[in-house]
Amino acid sequence: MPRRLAIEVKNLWFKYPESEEWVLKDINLEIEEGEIVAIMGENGAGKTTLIKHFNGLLKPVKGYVKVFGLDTREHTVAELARRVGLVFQNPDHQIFASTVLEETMFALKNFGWDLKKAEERAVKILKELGLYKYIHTSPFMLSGGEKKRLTIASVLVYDPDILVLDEPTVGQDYGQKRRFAEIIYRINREGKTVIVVTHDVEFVADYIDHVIVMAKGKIVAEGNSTEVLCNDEVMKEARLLMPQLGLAALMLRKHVEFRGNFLRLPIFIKEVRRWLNDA
Amino acid sequence: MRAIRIEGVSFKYRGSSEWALKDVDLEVEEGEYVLITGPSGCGKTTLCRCINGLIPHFYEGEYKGDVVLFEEIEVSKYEPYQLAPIVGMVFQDPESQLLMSSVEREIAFGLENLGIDRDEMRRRVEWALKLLGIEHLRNKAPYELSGGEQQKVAIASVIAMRPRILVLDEPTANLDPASSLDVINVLSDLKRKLNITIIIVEHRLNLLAPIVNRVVVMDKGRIIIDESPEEVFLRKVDMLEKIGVEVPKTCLVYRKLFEFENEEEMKPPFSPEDLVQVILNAKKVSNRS
Amino acid sequence: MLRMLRGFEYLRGDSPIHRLDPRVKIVYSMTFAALCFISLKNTFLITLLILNILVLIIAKVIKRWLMMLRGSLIFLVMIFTLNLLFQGLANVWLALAYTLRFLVFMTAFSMLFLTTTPEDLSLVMVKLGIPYEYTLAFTMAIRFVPTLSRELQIIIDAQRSRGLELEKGNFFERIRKYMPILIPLIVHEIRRSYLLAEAMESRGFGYTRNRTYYYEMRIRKNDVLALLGIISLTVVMAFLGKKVMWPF
Repeated sequence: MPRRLAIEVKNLWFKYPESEEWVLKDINLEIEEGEIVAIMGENGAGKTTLIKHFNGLLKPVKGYVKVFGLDTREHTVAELARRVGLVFQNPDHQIFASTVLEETMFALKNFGWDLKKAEERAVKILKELGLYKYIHTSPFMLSGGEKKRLTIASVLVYDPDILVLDEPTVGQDYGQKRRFAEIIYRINREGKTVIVVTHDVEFVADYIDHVIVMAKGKIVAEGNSTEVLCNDEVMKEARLLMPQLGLAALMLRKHVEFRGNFLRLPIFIKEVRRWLNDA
Repeated sequence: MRAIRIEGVSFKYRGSSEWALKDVDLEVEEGEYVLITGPSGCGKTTLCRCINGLIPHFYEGEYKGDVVLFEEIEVSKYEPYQLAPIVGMVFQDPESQLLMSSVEREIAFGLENLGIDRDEMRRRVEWALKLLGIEHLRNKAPYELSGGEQQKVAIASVIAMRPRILVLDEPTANLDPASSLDVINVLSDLKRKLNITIIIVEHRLNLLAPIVNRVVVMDKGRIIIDESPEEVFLRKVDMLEKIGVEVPKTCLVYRKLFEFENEEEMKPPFSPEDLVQVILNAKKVSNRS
Repeated sequence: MLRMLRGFEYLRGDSPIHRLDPRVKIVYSMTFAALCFISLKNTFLITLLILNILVLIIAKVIKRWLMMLRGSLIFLVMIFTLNLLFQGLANVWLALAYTLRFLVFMTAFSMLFLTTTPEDLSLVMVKLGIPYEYTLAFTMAIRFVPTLSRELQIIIDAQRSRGLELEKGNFFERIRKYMPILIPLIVHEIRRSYLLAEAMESRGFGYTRNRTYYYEMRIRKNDVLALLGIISLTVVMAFLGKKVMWPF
């Protein structure tokens, strides 16, 4: 049985009212429920502009965007935000409350939740993300990585079906990125669709299989990470660097027949070792 | 000559209960290109601030030890603005370093501060614009520039002051891959042309490992590794993984594939091209045998 | 209505007006501003406006001025209506004159700000004896306006994405709803001011009391000509304004 479409974008064209230039050009996109997808491209390719359509912050100039069948042109941001949680790149652009608990409960209060239930729910989410010990601390006192987790918590708290994260790995070290990947896997196992907007090729190569690549307002490629991220033309057009193992595999392709997702370290090593040991 | 001598430096920020730096020793020869890395919170930025005097003057706290530049300048005895002609510092967020409405004025700002005469200023601004390849941006405002361009402007405005040491604190953290590569290439170019001493703090190790002379790894306020890139990414890989520092994948592959080979002769490949070369050579050897 | 402010933002360009010494342009603005108080005859004020518009055309900034005009329409209508109410409904021409006076006044200063960089203005301020630190604060504030407005938009987007509805609620509720917008903005900008201070010190700010200046203001031939032009025009218009009978 086919899965529902979480996000459907058809012939989307967008430009800002004061401008002549089209920022998004004829975008067509389908994301199924329960997927983990990466939307990639350099800064300025239109990724952030695209995701702002998913919760109605921006409305299409031409074409439409549907979230679980709801046309975004016919709903307010507050209505769409309940289904689509959008986490922005810089936590400093949203943290404002006096305690971590207040910060987490903000969305629930906006949605009219009963205060007691809201607090219970916020506590639960904070525990899941390892921030419970800061519950009565000022969110401004948290470290960079903790603030990022707090922004995720403050969106997860109202249980959206789709979670969209804008550049979640910028400024994070390797350990933090790995923990972050664990969080999105866990969310995905609960049935949520996760969309990660990023230019971090290595992160996508390590953790995400379905990739959409944008360049200059258009989608230039879509598919498995092994196909898309190792396509020289696509990567050049999108001004992204090919993942290290991808480039290596590409150069070895004449000799080694790579099976499976060779962008993952263990598989790459296994395939090369097999070739080296063959007579 | 030792450009930088850091001896027994410990520092605790005012209001903090933890020591950000614990008894750190580091010596950098003139002309070296040193990469400092480590997990978040390890003290990399704090260490940078000790080199140009922001610690202990701009950031107050408990300070122990000595930082000496070129064998004679004791950093703690000078304000940061006095050290500006000797140590230039480039910060992580491009937007928060650029304060003028045009690139040209931005580059001139430091020179105006130093009281340099107008003709010399003009010469240096032209020189810096050319060196960084940003002459075409000369009249642009900061908000019109991409992140990579902004960082190049920031570097130009520091280089124009002709410092002998350049310190960069995560200059590519907020940039996309193409811009990061661009900035790193520009730095290599600068290094070659000016033979300046460069200290760079970074997470993107695979781009920098092949270029730097030395890799310094910090954790919890201490320097735990201080070796050549080959040494660090070959023999110290386990330690790096344990503290959460990203090891270039090419090095990890190399180690796993050739675990049982003669360690003395191993040279870890930092680029995919080098890795492929090593793998192909290994196949040739095994074909012959 | 915010579009009105764009008429006071520096617009980069290469016109004879842009290249004039900022002091000449300040003289221009001040004399034109003074001139519009000489007479309340609409034809006189319209003449002044046309003269101003000619200068704006030479400066190639006329499109931006039109944008400002569009943005200030509500404001102008408000002035007109208020004047009508206070001066009596019969005095339509008078109300129009007050409105025109305001427009000419705004246009005169708009010309100055559209064609002069904040740094040039700060040079004038320094020449007037204001300490450099204050003029620097002025130019930096202006430099960050586009950055701040972009960040404000991001903050609004982020909070709306968490269900904040700014359009709903009574007056007091709406004011409270701006807290989640103002607080991140203020905190972020305060933090940024520390980062800027760090960067400035690292580039030698404070090294010497005798700082030098990259740009210098020099009165050139064009500036002298422009000054002569302004003075003669002022004398002529002042005379005409006072002595001649202008219709309505």
